Amino acid sequence: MNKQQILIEFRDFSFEYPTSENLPALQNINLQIKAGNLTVLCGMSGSGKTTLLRHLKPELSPAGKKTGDLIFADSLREKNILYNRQKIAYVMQNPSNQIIMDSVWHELAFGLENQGLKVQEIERRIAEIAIFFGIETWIDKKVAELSGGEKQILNLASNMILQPDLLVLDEPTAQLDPIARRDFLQMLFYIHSETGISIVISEHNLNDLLENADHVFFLDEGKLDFSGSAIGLADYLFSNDHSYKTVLPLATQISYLSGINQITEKSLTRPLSIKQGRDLLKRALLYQSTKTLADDQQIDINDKIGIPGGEIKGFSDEIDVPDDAIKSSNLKSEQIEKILTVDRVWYRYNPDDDLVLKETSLNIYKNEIFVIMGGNGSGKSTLLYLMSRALKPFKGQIKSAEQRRIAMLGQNPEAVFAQDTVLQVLTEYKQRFANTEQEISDIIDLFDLRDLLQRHPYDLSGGEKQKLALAKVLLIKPDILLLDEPFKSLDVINKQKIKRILLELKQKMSIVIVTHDVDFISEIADRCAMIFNQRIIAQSATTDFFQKNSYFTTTTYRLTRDIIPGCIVFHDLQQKLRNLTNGELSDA
Amino acid sequence: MRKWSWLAIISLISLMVICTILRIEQTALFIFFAAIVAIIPFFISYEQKKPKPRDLMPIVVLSALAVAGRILFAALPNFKPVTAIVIIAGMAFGYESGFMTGALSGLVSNLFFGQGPWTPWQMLAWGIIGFIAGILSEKHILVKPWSIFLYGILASFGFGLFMDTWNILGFVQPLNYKNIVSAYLLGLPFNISHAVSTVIFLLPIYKTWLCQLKRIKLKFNLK
Amino acid sequence: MQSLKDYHPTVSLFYFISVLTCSMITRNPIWVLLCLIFAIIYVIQLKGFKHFLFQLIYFLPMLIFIVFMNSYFNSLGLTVLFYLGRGSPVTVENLTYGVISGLALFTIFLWFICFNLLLTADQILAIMGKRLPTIGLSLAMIIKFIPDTIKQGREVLLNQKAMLGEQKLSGKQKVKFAARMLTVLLCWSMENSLETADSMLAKGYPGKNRINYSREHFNSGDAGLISTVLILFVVHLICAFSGPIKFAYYPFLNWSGLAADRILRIISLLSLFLILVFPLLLDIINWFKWQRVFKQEQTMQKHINNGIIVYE
Repeated sequence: MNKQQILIEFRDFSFEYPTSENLPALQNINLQIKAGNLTVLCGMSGSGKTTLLRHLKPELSPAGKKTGDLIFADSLREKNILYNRQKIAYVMQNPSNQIIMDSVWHELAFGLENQGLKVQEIERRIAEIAIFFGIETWIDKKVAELSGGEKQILNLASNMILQPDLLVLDEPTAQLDPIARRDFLQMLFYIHSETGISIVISEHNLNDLLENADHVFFLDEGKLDFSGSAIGLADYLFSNDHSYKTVLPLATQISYLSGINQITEKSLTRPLSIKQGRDLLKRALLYQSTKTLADDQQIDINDKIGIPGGEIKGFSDEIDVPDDAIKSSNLKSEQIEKILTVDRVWYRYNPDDDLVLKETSLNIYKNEIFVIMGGNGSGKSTLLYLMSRALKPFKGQIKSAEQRRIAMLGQNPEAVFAQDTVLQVLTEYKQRFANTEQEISDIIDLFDLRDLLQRHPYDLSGGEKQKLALAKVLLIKPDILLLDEPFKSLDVINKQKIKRILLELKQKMSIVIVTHDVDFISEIADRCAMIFNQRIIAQSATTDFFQKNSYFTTTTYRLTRDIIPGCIVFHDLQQKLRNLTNGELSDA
Repeated sequence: MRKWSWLAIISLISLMVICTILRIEQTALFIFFAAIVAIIPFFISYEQKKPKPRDLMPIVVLSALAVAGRILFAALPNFKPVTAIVIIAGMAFGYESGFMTGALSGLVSNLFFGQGPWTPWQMLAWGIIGFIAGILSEKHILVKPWSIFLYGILASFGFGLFMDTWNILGFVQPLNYKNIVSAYLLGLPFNISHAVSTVIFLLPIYKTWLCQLKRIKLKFNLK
Repeated sequence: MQSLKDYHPTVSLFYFISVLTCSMITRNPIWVLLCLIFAIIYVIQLKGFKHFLFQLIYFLPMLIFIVFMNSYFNSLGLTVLFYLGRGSPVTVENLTYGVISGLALFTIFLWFICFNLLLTADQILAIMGKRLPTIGLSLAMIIKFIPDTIKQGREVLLNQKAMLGEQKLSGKQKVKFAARMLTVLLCWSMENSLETADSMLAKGYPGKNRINYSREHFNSGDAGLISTVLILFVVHLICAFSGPIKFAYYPFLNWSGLAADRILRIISLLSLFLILVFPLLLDIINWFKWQRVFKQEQTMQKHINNGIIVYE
C-alpha cells in the first residue's frame, strides 16, 4: 500500500482569500493523494472542502495568499503545457451549469476540441465513452432534454473522455434526488473499479460512499483533522464526540450505541452498509438471547422491546408490523381544525400537455407538519405551487379558511433574492407585513445571519442562501408555510437547527414540506403522503407510513425492520436497545 | 476596429443610395449580400480578441435572455424584448459586446423561428443598436432615464425602417418620396408595437440591470 | 424524400446561395417564373401542398403591398388600364412589374422555407464554426442557455408569486414585480454562467490548437456536387448576362434579350433549369435506386424459406 504513487502532496499548505478578515481558509494542510485510490474528503460546509479541491485543479485554484508547498507528480504534468489539462478532471455540483454545449455529442467533443485532436480520434473517443457509459441513445439529444441525474452522468462522461489520471468531484450528488444519486455513485464506482483511476470526491452525504472509500480525509475549519480509513474516521469522531458523527451512515452509528457495543460477543467490525448493519444487529440480538438463556433469566425480549403480545421474529425474514402499537402515535386528525383543503384538483401546464395532477385531494390541519414525497417530476412541486395560489387548478378547488396567509419557498433560494445585500433581502417586506426591528433582529440571530448582513446574497454558500430564504419567508408570518426541498444544501448541523426551528414553528402554523430526505423528515413529520401517477397514493401518520413501506422508508427501518420492529427513526432504535440491555448492560 | 465598423456601416448605406439612384435591377441581391458582408468585420475582430470564458459569458447570457424573451412573447406581433436587452448590453459592456449581443440574438432567434431574407438585416440592425448604445454611453450621453427611453424609441423605429428598407429598395422601382413615405407609414403600427415593447421592457430593467451588471463585471473580473 | 440532407451541409448552402442569387438577380419574367415554379415544386415536395397554400395565403398581403407600391405611385408605362382614385394611372407595364417583383420576393421566401428544413441548427453551427470558431461556440452556448433561462424565468415567476400567496397588484406594483423578477433572472443566469466558465477552463478551453469538430464529413461526392452547381451557376450568369436576360418594362414590355444569340439563350435557360431541378433530380435518382433495391429484396423474400435463404 505504501508503494502507491503519490499524485499530489500538500506540505504545510495554507491558503487565505484576499477578502476574508477571518482565519485562513486552509491551515497547515499536510496530505497526500495516492494513485488508484478513491479518496473521500468530508467535513462541514464552510470547512474548506471546495477550496482544497480547487487547488487540485490549477486552472480553477482561487486567487489568494498561499504558503507551503503543493506538489504535483510528474505524471500529472504535460511537457510544454503550462497547466495539466488532460490529466485532472473536475466535476462540480450543479448538473446543468457545468454543461457548455447545446447537444450531448457536442458536449462530449468540447474537451477534445480544446486538445486539438484529429477528427478520427475524437469520433473514436466519443463512441468509446458513449458505449462505456451506456449513453449511446442520448448522443443526438439536446442537453435540455436530459434530467438532472442524466446531466450529471454526462458531466462525468465529458470529463472521463479526456482520459484523466485524477478525477476530482466536488459534491457531485448534492443536487440530485436519491435515485439519481444512487445511479451516479454506481457509475463512479464502476469507473473506479474498471479503470483504476484515482478519484477524490467531497460529499456531505456519506451513505453508500464510505463503504467504497480507500482513504478518508476529514476537514474541520480549514484544518485536516483526520486522515485514514472510513472506520478509523468513525472511531475518531466517536471517541472525540465530534458533532459531525451524525453524518456517518446509520449502520456505522449503530455499532457505537451503548447496547450493541457491549452485547456483541467478539471484537466487532464496524458496519458501513445496511447489510453489514443488519448482520450486526442480528448477531447482537442472538448474543443477547443466548446470554439471557444462559443466565436462566427467562426474560421475554418482546417485553423489553415494548411490543405487547408480539413474538420476536428477529431471526426470520418475515416482516412484522404490529398495527396497534403505531396507532397510538397517530394524530387524531378528525378533531383538529382543517386549515387548507385540496379538493379533487386536476392540473396540467398547457392544454395539450399530459396531466400533472389527477383528482388529487388532501387536507392540511392546524399545527401539523405534513410531508409530501414522490419521484422526480411526480408533481410534488406543482401541488405546492397550487396550494400557494401561484398556479390555479384547471379543475377542482383549493379552499382555505379566511385570512390564512400562505407563504411558499421553492427549491432554489436564488429565485427570491432581488436585493443587493442580505439585510435588504430581509427588510424588503418590512412595511407590508409590519415587521418590527425586534422581529427582524430575532430572525437574523435565529438563522446566524448577523455576520453576513452586508454581503450580496449570491456570494453566500448554498446553506447560507437556504437559511436566508427561510428567514425571509418567516418574516411574512404565514399561517401555512410551504417548503420545497428545504434541506437540499444544508449540512447536518444546520439541518438539526432547522429541525428545531420547524418544530417550534409548528406551534404557530401548519407546515407542508416536499422532500426526498426520508431519514431527516421522519423525525419531524406528523403525517406523510406519497405522490405517484399524478395522485396521492398513501397518506397516513408518519410511523404508519414508513412501517407499511419496505423500500421507500427510513434507513433505520430498513436496518431494523424485522430484527427490532417498530423503529422508524434512529431515536426509536436507541430507546429500544436501551430497554433491551437495561440494568446491568447499559451505561457500563 | 471601430473605424472598420463605421466604414462597413457607411459603405452599406452608400451602396443602398447608389443602387436606388441608378435604379439597379439587382438592388435586392446586392444589398442582401452587402448586409452579410457588413457583419463580418465585427465578427472577425471578435474572433481575433480570443475572448476568455468569462468574457464570453455576458454576451451569451444576455443573448439567451433576449431570445428566451422573444420566444415567450412570440404570440404578440413585433412585441419583443430584444432591443431593450441589446441596449442594456451595449451600455454595460461596451459597443463591441453590444454589437455581438444584438447580432447573435438575431441569428439564434431565427434558428428558432426560421431563417429568412430578414436574418442578416435583423442581425445587423440589432448589432448596430447595441453598438451605438455602447458608444453613446461611453460618451456619457446615455445617462438620464429619459435619454435611454428616447434612444430605445428611436432605435425601435430605426430597426423597423431598416428592416423595411430591403423590401422597398429591392422590390419597388422607381422610388419616389411618395412610395417611400407611404411604405413606412404602412409599417408604422408594427414599429409602434416594437417601440412600446422596448420601453415596456426598459422601464423595469434599465436601472436595476445596469446596476447588477456593474457588480457582475467586478465579480467576473472584466475590465 | 430529402436527398440533399444526405450530403454535407455546404452542398445545401451552395445550392441555396445559387438559387437565391438566380431568383434575385433579374426581373425578367421568364427567369422569375421559372425560379418560382421550381421553388413551389420543391416546397410541395418537402412539406406538402397544404403548407404551400398556407404560405401563399400568408404572403398575399405582402404581394398586394408590393404591387400597390409599384403601380399606384408612378405613371410609367404606356398602356393605361385604369385609374385608381386620385393616384397615377395603373398601366400594364407597372402592374406587370409589381406582380413580377412580388413573385420574386415570394420565391425567395419559398427558398428559405426549404433552407430551414434542409439545414438544421446544428449544421448551421457547424458551417459557422469552421470559419468563425468563437462565434460558433457562442451560438452553441446561447442555444444551450435558452431552455435553462426559460425554465428559470418560470421558476422565478412562480416563486415570487408563491412567496406572498394570493394577492392583487396595482399597476405600479406590477412594474415593480416585473422589475424584481427580471433582475432575479438576470443575476441568477449570470451567477450560473460563472460555473459554466469554470467548467470551460477545467476542460482546457481555449487550448493552443483548439479545433472545431463537426459530425459532418466532407467527401469527394460533396465536392463533385458543389462544383457541378457552381459550374452551372457561372455558365448561367455568363450566358444570361451576355444578352438574353435583358428585359425592359418601361415604356412598354420588351424582351430585348430576344435579339441576342439564340444559343446563348438556350444555354442560359438550360443551365438555370438544371440548377433548379438539381435537388429534385437527386430525389428522383434516389427514388429509382430505392425501388431497385426494394424489388431485389422482394425477389429475395421469395427465396426465404423458414428463415433460410435458398436459391434454386
